[in-house]
Amino acid sequence: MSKDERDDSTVSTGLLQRGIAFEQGRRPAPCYRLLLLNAANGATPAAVHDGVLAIDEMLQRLAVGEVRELAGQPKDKATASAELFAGLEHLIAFGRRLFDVDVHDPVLIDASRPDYLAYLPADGPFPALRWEQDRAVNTGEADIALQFTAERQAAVNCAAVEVWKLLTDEALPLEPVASFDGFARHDGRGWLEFHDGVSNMHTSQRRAALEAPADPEWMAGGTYMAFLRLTVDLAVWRTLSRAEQELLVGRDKLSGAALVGTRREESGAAIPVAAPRSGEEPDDRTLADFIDPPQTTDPLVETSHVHRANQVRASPAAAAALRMFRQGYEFLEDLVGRPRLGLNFVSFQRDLAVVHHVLHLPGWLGDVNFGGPTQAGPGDPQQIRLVSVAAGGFYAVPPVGAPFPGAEIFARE
Amino acid sequence: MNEPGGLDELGDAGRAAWTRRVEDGIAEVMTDLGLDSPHRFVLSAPDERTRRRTAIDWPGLPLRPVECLTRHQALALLDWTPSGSEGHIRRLQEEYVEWRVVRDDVGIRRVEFTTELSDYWRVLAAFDPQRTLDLVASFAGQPSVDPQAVYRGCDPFSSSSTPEEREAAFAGAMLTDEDPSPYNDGRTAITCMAQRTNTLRALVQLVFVATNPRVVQDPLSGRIRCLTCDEAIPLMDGAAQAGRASDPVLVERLIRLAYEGRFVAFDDPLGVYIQSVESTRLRTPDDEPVPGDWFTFERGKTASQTTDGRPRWQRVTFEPPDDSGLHVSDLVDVATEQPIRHGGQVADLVQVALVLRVSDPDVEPPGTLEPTELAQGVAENALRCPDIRLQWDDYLAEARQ
Repeated sequence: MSKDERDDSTVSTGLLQRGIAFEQGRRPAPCYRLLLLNAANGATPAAVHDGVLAIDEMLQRLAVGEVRELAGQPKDKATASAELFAGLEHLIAFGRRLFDVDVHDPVLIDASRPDYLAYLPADGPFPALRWEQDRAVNTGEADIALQFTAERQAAVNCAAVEVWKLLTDEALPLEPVASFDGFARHDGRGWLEFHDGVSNMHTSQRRAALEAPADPEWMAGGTYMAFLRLTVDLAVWRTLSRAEQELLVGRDKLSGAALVGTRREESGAAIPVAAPRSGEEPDDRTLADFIDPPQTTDPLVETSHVHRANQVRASPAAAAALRMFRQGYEFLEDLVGRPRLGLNFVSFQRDLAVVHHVLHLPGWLGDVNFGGPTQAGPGDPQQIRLVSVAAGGFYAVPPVGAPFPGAEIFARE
Repeated sequence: MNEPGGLDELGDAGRAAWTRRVEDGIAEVMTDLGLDSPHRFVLSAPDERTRRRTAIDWPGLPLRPVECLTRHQALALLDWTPSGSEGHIRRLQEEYVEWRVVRDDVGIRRVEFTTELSDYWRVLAAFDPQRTLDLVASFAGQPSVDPQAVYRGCDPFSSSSTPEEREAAFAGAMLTDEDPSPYNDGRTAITCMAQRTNTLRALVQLVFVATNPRVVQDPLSGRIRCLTCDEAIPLMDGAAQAGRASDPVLVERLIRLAYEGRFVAFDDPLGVYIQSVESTRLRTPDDEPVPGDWFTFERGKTASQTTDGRPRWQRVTFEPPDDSGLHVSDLVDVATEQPIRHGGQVADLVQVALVLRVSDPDVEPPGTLEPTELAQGVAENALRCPDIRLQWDDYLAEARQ
């Protein structure tokens, strides 16, 4: 894409790169792959810069069906290639490692590191969200992240492999170090069988949640990505009753309606009370409450996941609301023995401080693994360790620019 | 009206005066707003209709300077007190929490925060000078305090001094921007909030003006929704400041409560409370987590001492113990990988909350609402950045001297 073309496309998307489905009426593409690359030892900034440029140009051609080694294929075959890659979008992001002067000699970047672009701590990324047991190394940190989204699984997978081919063929000083796949469910539910991603912000407010300020200058109009590959202990989850599950999530399992309160059985067990189901044509308030349920005043419902993750329930214009734009994808790795599955938690936000606050603050998600009260009273759902971090990292997603996003921050030799 | 933080130090006369202070503050705001009848949604005091509690919380780091400058510039500016006592006490610490940084030759020894309202301290100073002086001395780590440093131009123990005179003398020393007492400007101690907008009146005004079920038709979805803070604050005639951490979330939450048809009242005890601290973000130079008890909470109640399980602290001091051999400035925030160099970095870990009492929804249905006519365009400088940039220039000028 030329600079002019990029400028033309910024009317509704600002300077945000493609691959973030925040525009009106747009749903995230259902297929996902994240490819992480590290610069080779001793690579020069110019060589890494040129490598990223070559990848970016190749991927732009791929999105219109131009496969490098199939140049000159018959027209009908070219049409098939174009169809395969239609809707393929890639996003280029820079990890903490790219700025690490202890890792890179020569230094690759001549620009300030954004303050909150930090490594996830080795002793546990967050106080209540811990590393998976037996995890030896965090494979989610890298110099560069390439996010692929598309309508077809083959497109995102082929795109990743085309990057590998290019690196190999051109002997570029970048090497793949990890890759993570994911898919979206059309029914809006996740592995827990609850509605997920329902609570999000009005389209008109999303850019305010996404667009980074000019601190540092080179990130003005870009955004930040948090990637956490979260494994879910589905076996433990399924030992809970529906009522317990709903109290931990904060929604009715079947309708997706937000819980508005609780009542107690004779035994003292808490029973969730959901908002009444909306009719054929819900009024504005009913609809708004379904999409983004109001802050409850029931102390137990306040401890549920949906309320802990979005406590204040204000718009992104209120910075303390700590809003982030989530675009997660499920994954399934294995079913032998215990299922190995989970969620690629992917969020984009104007400032990574938001993620740190949400995942460190007691009362938000800093003191429970998923949801529920920290000290369950009689009849309250008990704490479970449902979610662990298999891999993760924070990434700066520079604004669109020529010759590729963030190109200007590479050191000049 | 109980004392903020559930304290019990005023005595009968003082407590009656505190109750009057709150009532008068509310009445004055209603008069200023031209309300000759009770507010439709805001009650002057909680009653049987407002059985539920809800808290609105925000981080203590002032965001307006961060937005107007860079984060590093803002952190430096927020700790700065102009030499010669010019300017205003903690002028930019405007999130209903204020702090001072205690440094020694090595680095930062400790950081002290307070959310105590000056309105309460005026009453305490008026009615119990000995308690006032004892508390100030304890905040300063001194055995006693010269009364003149706290009650300028007044002998608070004279039989002829009246509560009004003692209050005025206290305010003239501790709450003034002109030659403020070192016991509240941060040099020797921080006693209570002194920033101009961190007051009971400002809080009351914000709540009374914001609690209004204003709606608008969303420009993209076409749906009716509540106003955002950016849309509402320009209509509030200065009762809230855009770009802060506190005011925007308060405004949006209050609009929403009115939209849901709820009555709203300040919780009793009224106050601004330190609800929690992100202590887990801090590490020692050996990469060990900082123990939570390096934060000392005071002037309030633990979660187990309150009926709703929310802690209500008004003062917190962060200081590594002597036997650790560490200073605050030796510690690192893992979220930024940066050592603590400024009080604002710790303020960013402090979560402050206002607790409200509310009724069930639809007790006072707002009825059919017409979309609000919004101010034309967002004000060019809703954050009032030029003023902050001028202060940054002053800071730089002094730093160069």
